[in-house]
Amino acid sequence: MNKLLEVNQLKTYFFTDNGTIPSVDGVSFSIDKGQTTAIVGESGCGKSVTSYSIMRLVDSPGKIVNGEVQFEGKDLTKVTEKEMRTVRGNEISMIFQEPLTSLNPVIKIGNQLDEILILHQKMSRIKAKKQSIAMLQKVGIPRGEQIYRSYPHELSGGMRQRVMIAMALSCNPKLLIADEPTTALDVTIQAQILKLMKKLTEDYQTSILLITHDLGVVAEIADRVIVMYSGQVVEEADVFTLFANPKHPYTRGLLASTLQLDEYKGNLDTIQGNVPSPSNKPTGCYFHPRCPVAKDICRKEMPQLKNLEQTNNRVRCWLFEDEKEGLLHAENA
Amino acid sequence: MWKYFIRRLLQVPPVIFIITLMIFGLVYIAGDPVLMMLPADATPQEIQQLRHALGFDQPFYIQFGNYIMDLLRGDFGDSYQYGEPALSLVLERLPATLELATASMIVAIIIAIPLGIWSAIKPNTFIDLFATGFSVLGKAIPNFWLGIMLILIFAVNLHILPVSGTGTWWHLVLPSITLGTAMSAEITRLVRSNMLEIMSQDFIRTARSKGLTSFIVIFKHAFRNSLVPVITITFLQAAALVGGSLITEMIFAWPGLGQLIIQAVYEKDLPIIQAAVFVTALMIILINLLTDVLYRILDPRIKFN
Amino acid sequence: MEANNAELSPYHVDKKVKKSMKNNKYRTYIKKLIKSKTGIVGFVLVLSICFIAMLAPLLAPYDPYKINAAQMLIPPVWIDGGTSNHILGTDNLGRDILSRLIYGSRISIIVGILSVVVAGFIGVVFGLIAGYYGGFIDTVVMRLVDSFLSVPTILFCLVFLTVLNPGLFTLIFVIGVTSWVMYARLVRGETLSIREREYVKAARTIGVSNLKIITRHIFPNVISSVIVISTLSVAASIITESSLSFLGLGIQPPTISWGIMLSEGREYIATSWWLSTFPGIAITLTVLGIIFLGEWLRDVLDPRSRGM
Repeated sequence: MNKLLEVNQLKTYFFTDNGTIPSVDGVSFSIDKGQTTAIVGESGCGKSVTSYSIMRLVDSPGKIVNGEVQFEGKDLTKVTEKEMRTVRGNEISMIFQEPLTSLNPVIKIGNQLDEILILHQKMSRIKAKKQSIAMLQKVGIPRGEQIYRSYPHELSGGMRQRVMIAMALSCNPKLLIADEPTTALDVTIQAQILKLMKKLTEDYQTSILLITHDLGVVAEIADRVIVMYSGQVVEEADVFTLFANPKHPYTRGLLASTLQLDEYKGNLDTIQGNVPSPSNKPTGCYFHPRCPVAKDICRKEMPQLKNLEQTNNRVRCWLFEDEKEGLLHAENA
Repeated sequence: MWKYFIRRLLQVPPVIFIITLMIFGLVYIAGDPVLMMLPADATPQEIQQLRHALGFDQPFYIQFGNYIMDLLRGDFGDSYQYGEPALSLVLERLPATLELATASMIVAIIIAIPLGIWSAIKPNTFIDLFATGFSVLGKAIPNFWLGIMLILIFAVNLHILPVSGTGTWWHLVLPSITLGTAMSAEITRLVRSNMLEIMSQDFIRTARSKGLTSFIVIFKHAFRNSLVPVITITFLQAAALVGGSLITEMIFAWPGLGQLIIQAVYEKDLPIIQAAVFVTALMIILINLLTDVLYRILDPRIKFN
Repeated sequence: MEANNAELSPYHVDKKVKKSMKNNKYRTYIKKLIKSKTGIVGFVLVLSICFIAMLAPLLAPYDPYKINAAQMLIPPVWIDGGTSNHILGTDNLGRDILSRLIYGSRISIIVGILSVVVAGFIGVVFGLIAGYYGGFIDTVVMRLVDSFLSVPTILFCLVFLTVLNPGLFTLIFVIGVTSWVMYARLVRGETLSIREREYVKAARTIGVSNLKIITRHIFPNVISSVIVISTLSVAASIITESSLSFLGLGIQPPTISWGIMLSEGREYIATSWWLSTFPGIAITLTVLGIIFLGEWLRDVLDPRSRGM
């Protein structure tokens, strides 16, 4: 098997004063070595919480209540905190949406880069400094020496995100989780950062788990795409199939709403309504109140995430269930 | 940086001028002290003579001008009680007060920082409740009562610490706890709220995602960020500390400035009070100035403008 | 079944939604109540102290001034030698401590509130003027503020008390005059920002007088923050009053103040702890109540500073 990461029935709930919120509600997927997988969905669909769950960085009142995260033969939900620390930053590292706030404002860039090398690679300070400056150059920062001595507020957003990438890749991790890495950046900078991520991960043979709501970014670098809605996976496919032949009505809606204007004559399509409140989800398929093709059964029963014939692609929708089986289910209920 | 410093420095003279005006005005309102200086059976003529000799019959602004000239030479007049220069009496007592203040500050910090951090990283636990309770109670308990209760418990009943006075390190314990508690309460509250805010910042998540231990995340990444406000507030509490030391010194018979001042108030010894207020204000102004500059040096994000 | 019913009968759904909304409201109400537990405690404490102060003659079991040489230094009732006649014991002159505590609350409340009124008045006026007019006036006021800030309040009070004769009104005046600075800084800051708001600018352009703008448009906007810090500074004033009275420079005997009780009791600390313990507890509880009440008020009136 060349599966690097396998997430199984992951459930992460938030236990708040106003009740339990199932942010991640039984998510399963896997990532192959060297592959770039994107999780897309609207804000609040649980995509970020999924990625934090993999890293076990979910803060109280959030808690992983079920499922496993298989990584290199270990279940990351079960290992000790100490063992988990040897995974974080070393084998799986992360970059975040806000380069402005993701770097510590009172610690120099160099120190922030060095500490990860000293921690995981057991490097000396001098060696770490050399390596850090080399990493800065690799992410396209020309004056590495100077940036090394700077504070984060002295850098532009794009530069800071490059620093984050340098930091994330400095221990040569097997998986890079990028949580909306380009959302806060200018469009021109976005393209540069994506290109950089693509190039470096190819060089280092790193898999990427990209969390984004931007299908443009997905099209640019992803191999596989997972579409999440309200804490669940609703569709999973390789990037070509997903763009060419989206199955789930939600995916179709997402694609339609992001089509560029010049390609799309007529009204701009949007998905009606809002993401359901996670503490008060509808019965049946969570998407049915917004679904243009909802049937009776969609209102009553949750469809299963099913493999489509002859492919690895999966979809969670009654439209693609065996007609007969679906009816049977309905009668039983 | 220099520009800021100079502008800040230029604010000092007016403040000192106002304080001088106030302490001089005090004497002016109080009426001239000639009567206090002369024996009770002095004749009106003698009084008039002395008044003229000392310049108390001149208009306000001339008297004030003379007063400033005297101050510039470090002359606050002689103490009515001791007959010695007031300023040197005040300066003599200053080291004892500074010793007590420093010890209190250390006590305050030793209690407050661990308690504040601990309660912030374990919110809604017993320790958090304890820290919150401490920070409220520390503000509510009047320090002179706290001092008396500490004497009652540790000196009178348990006999483990001296009631009052100076001499050994043990003498310093109760006064510095008495004086440090209120400050400690304030710093605990500040550290706690600061750390709570910082622990939810993005860069803490970054630090954790790097696999750093919680110790390093808390102390290197989080606490360093709250260090600047904590240092600032600690120093800005200096004024409150000096105020608190007045009564604390009296309760524990600590031979510092506070004792001298209170004695001077009882005896209406104006030159000592003037000198003490002036010296205290000058110290506090300097501390505030230094804090302000330090604050800007410590936090790289603040630009001087 | 449930889903079907809901679809067929809209009324049913409505009722259910209504019910759940009502439940939610009720739940958040209870939660708010629980959350401001300290607010309730503060409210009850402050209210009871005010009642005690007002009804002192009715509540006090004895005449607090009455000296009784036969009953000196009787310990509280739960200690050996105590009697139920004097629940908290008697002092060195045989006066009932409970009665004295009850009467002592009057001074704390009066000085606490009136000195804050004095300080608030001076501070608000200076703050409004400095913030509204800016320029030279502002600079002068700010330097004045700096000067007051560089002398500790209690030292400042001592300075005044050196030249003034001690007494209730001197004390109120002295505490008030030395603690107006907080209000001035706060009000000035808020005035500076309110001054730039559209409606103030509009009022100015149509020629509304400055006095009217300040009293009609600016002052109402600063009231809530002034109330919040006033409450909290009543606590500070009470502590200052008791400190000064403790030193013998505030309230003068035979008037009863908790600070005086403490200083008298201090002489007997080695033998009769209750003399100096109960007045301190009284001060602490009063101040605690006011702080709780003040913080609760801040949450209600000034949500920006919540959690601070």
